[in-house]
Amino acid sequence: MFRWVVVRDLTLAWKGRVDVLSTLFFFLIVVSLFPLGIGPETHLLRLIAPGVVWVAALLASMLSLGRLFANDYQDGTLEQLLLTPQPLYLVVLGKVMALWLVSGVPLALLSPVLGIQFGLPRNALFVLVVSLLLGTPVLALIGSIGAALTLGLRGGGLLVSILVLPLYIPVLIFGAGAVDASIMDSGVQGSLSLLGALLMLSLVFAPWATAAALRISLE
Amino acid sequence: MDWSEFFSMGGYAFYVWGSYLVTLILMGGEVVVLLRRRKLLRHQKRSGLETRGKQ
Amino acid sequence: MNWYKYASPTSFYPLAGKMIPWFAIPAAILFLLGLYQGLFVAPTDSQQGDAYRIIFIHVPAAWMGMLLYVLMAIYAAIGWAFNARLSSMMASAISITGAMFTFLSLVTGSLWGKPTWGTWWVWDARLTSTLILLFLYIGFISLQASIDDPRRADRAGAVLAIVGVINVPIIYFSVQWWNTLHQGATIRLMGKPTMAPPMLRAMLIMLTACWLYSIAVVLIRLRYIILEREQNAAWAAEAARSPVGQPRWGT
Repeated sequence: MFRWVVVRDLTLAWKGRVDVLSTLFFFLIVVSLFPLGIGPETHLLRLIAPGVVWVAALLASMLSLGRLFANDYQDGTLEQLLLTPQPLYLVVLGKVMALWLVSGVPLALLSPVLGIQFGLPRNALFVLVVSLLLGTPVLALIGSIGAALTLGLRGGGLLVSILVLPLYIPVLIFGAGAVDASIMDSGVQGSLSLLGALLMLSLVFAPWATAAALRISLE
Repeated sequence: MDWSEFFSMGGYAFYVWGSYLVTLILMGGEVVVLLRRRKLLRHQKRSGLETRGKQ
Repeated sequence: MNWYKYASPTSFYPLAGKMIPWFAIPAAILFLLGLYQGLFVAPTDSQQGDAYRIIFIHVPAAWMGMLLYVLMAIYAAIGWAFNARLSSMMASAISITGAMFTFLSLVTGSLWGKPTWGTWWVWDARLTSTLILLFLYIGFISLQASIDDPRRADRAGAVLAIVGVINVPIIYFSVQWWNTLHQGATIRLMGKPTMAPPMLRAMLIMLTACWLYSIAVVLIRLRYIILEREQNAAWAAEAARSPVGQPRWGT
C-alpha cells in the first residue's frame, strides 16, 4: 500500500511536472534576490549564504505543500484513502515521501550551484547538500501537518505559512548552523546529528499528527 | 515623598511609565473589547429574535 | 455534588458568571498593591537605577504567556480526547489573553532593554523564544478564525496546540544553541538586578494579580463564546437579552 501511494504520487507529479519545476525555479529566484538586494560583496555573501539558501529552501518547501493533499481532496481521492484498511499513517508517509523526492531532493542537489554563486568553500558546499537532504524531509513532514489542518480553507497558502514557519525554526537553525560550522571548521557533526534527531522525531510523530488532522478536516 | 523624583524614575521615566502605560492599554483594551462584544451579541440577539418571531 | 453537570456549557455559564467577581476584584486590588510595592516600597537598584522596575510587569507577563499556552494546549487536548465542547471553548478563550501577555512581555522587554542594553531589540535566547511563542499563538488564533465549523476548529486547534507544545522545548533549545553559537551580540551595559525581598514580594504580588486577571478575563470571554455557539438554544437568547435579574458580568 505504501509503495502504491508513493508510485501513484510520483506518477502524478511527473504528469504535472511543470508544477514541480516551479518549486525549483522559485528556490533559484529567491536565492538570487538576496545579492540583488544586498550587494555583490563576496565576503558578505559568503557570510549570509547558509542562512539565505536555507530560508529559500524553507519557503520553497512550504509552497510545495499545496500539492500534497489539495488535488486529492478536490477529486475525492483523499476520502477514499481514508477509508482503506491500511493505517492512515502509512498513506501519509507515502505521500510525504513522494513530495520530498520530487521537491526536496532536487532542491538539495541544486544547492551547491547556488552555494558557488555565494562563494562558499567546497567543504561547505558538501555540508550544505547533506544538511538539506536531512532537513527537507523534516520540512515536508512538519509541513504536512499544516497542509492537513488547512484543507479546503480560504486563506490557503498564507495560513499554512503562519502555522508552519514557526515550527520550521529549529530545522533552520540546525541546518544553516551546520553549514556555518563547516565554514568555521568546527561543530559540523553536532549540528548534523541534531538535524538527524529532528528527522527521527518527525518521522515518528508527524505522520500521526497529520493523519489525525486529515480525519478532522474531512469529517 | 519627593514626587518629582518619583515621576522621573531616576531619568528612566519614559521606559518605566511607558511600560506601565502599555500594560494599562493592553489589559484595559482587552476588557473593553470584551464588553463591546457583549453589546454586539445583545444587538444580534434582539434582531435575530425579531426575525424569528416574524416567521 | 455532581461536578459533571458543569461540563455542559449551559450549566457552566451561570457558574462562571458568579465566579468572575471573585477573581476580578482581588485582581484589581492586588494590582494596586503590587504597583505600590514595586514602584514605591522596593529600593532603587544599585546598577540599573529605577529602570529595573519594569520587571514587575515584564516577568509576570512573560510567565503568563508561557503558562497560558500550556494551559490552552491542555484544555484543547482534553476537549478533543473527551469530545468536551466546554473544554475546547476554554482553550479558545485562553488563546487571546495568552497572546496579549506574550506581546506585552515583548514590548516591556524592549522598553527595559533600551536603557540596559542600549538597543530596542536584542536577539537573545529569551526574547527570541518569546517572539516565536507569539507566532505560535497567532497560528492557533488564525487557524480557529479561518474555520467556520466550530467542532472542526476546536479539534484542528487541539492538534496545532499539541504539536506546538511539544515543539516549545525544541524551539527553546535550538534558540539557546543558536544564541551561544553567535555569542558576542549581547552587551549588557548594566548587570541584572539582585533581588532584595521587597522586590521579590512585589514580583509575586504582580504575578498573582496577573493570574487572577487572566482567570477573570478568560471566564468573561468563555461566557461570550458559549453564548455565540449555543445561539439556537432559547436560554442563550434570554441570557443575552435581559439585563434584569442576571449577574452583572453576564449581560
